[in-house]
Amino acid sequence: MCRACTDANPRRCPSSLGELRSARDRSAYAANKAAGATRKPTKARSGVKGGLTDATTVEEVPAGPVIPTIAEVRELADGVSDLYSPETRHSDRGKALIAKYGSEDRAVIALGDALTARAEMHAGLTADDISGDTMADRLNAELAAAGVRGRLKLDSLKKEMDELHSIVKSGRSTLTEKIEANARRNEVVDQYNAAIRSAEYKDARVQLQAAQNGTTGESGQKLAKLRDGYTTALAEVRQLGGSLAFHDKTAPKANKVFNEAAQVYPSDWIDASNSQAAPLAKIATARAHYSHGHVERTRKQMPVSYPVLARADEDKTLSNDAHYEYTRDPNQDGVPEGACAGSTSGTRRRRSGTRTPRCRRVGDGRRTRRSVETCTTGARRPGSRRSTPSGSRRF
Amino acid sequence: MARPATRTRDLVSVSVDGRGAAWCDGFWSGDAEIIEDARLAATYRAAVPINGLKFEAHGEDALGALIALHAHLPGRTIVVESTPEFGALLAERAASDAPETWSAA
Repeated sequence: MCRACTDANPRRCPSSLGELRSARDRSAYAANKAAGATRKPTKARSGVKGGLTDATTVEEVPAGPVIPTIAEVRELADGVSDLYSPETRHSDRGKALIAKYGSEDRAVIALGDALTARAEMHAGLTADDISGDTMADRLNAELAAAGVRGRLKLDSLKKEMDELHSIVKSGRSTLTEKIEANARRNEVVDQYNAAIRSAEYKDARVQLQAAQNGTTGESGQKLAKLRDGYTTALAEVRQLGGSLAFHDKTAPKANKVFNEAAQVYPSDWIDASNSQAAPLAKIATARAHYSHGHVERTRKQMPVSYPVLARADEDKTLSNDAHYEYTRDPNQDGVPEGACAGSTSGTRRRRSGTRTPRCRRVGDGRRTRRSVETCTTGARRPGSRRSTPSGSRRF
Repeated sequence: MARPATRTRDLVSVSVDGRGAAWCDGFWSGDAEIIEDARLAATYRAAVPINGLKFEAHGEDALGALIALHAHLPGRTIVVESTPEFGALLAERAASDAPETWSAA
C-alpha cells in the first residue's frame, strides 16, 4: 500500500522499489527476447554485427521425404494400438515405441506422418501443391459472388429495408410516416426476394459453395486424387469397407448412400455396428435423429422365435422354428364355428376394412334398436325367426 | 568503493509460436494469452503436461513458474531461459517413468 508523501506517515509505492522495478524490467526484456528468439531469420543488415541472424541456425532440409514401406507403417500402427490398450500397454512393442519416440503422442504423430507420406506417394502430389490452387479458386468464386450481389443491389436493398424497419418500429415516427415506410418496405422486400430467387444469384451461390468445398476445377480433381491416395494408404494398414445392415424399412436409395460412405470406414467398425440392432436409414433435408442401439418398431408381423424347453433326449432343432403371433378376437370366445350366440347387448361392432354379414330378428314387428339382434357369424339363432335380407323388406 | 553485490534474480522465459513470455521474481511479462493461462495455472496449481508427464505449476519459484508458462500450449512451448532445476526435474521424472521401470501387465 502506498501513501502520499504529504501524509503524516508517507510510504512509497512498492512497485517503485528498485528491486521490484528491476525484476519487472528484466521480465519484460526476457519476454521480448524470447519472442524474437524463434522468429524467422531476417536479412542481415550491412554493418550490423551479431543479432538474431547470426544466432539463428538453419537446419538442413532433406532432399525429399522418406517414404516408409507398408510393413513399417503396419508395425508402427500395431505398436500405437498396443500403447492405447490397457492390456498391451506394457508390452515389448509398446516399450520400444516409447523408447524411440519419447511418448505416446509423438508415436501417434509419427504414424500420421508415415501415413501422409504414403498417401501423397499414391496421389502423386502433396497437400502443399494444392493449397494455392484451392485458395485461388475460392477467391475467384467469392469475387464473382460479390459481383452478382452488387449487380442485384442486394446490399443496398438490405440497408434500405433495415432503415424502413427502424422507422416503422420507432416511437418517434408519426403514424403517417409509419404507414408510408411500411408500404415502401413491402415493395423493397418484394424486390429483395425476387433478386434472391433469381437464377443468377442461385448459380453464383452454387459456384461459391463448390469452390469452398474444393469440388470444382483443376483443384477439385487434385483434391479427389489426394483423397483417393489417403484411402489407399489407410487400406494398406487396416481393412476398410463392408456391408452395413439396415432395417427392412430402409429405402434402397438410403441404403446405397450409406453403404457408399461406409466403404472408407474400418471393417471392424462395420461388423460392430451390424452386431447391434439394425438402424433405420433415411435421407432427410431437415435435421437428423439418431438413437444408439434403437430397435425400430414396425406394424409388420415379424417372425418371433420362442424358446422351447426340451428335455435332453428330445430333438432341439424345433426350437429354431419361426412362429407368428396372432391376436385373438374377444367376441369369438366360446362361439363354435357356424353357430351364433346371439348377443343381447344390441351394440354394433364394426371392424375397419371388413364387413361382416349380419342377421336381424324383429320381435313384435316394430323396428327398434332394442329389438334388433346381431350376430357376427351370420348363422341363425336356434328358435329365432328367419332373418330377412337387408333392403328386401321395409317396415 | 566497490558496488554492493546484487542478488541474482531467477528468470525464466518461453516462446510459443513466436510469442514470448517471462517470469522474473514474481513478475509476469509478455504475451497476454500466455500470461493469463500461466497465472491461472499458478493460482490453481494446475497439473501441466510436459513431454507426456504431469507437473504441478505454482508461482512461488522459477521452477513452478516455468511449468505454469507451459500451460497455454504445452506442445508448442520452447524454453528460452530455464533454471537448472527444471532439467533435473524432467530427467528425474523421465527416468522414473521409463519403460524399464514399468511393471509387467
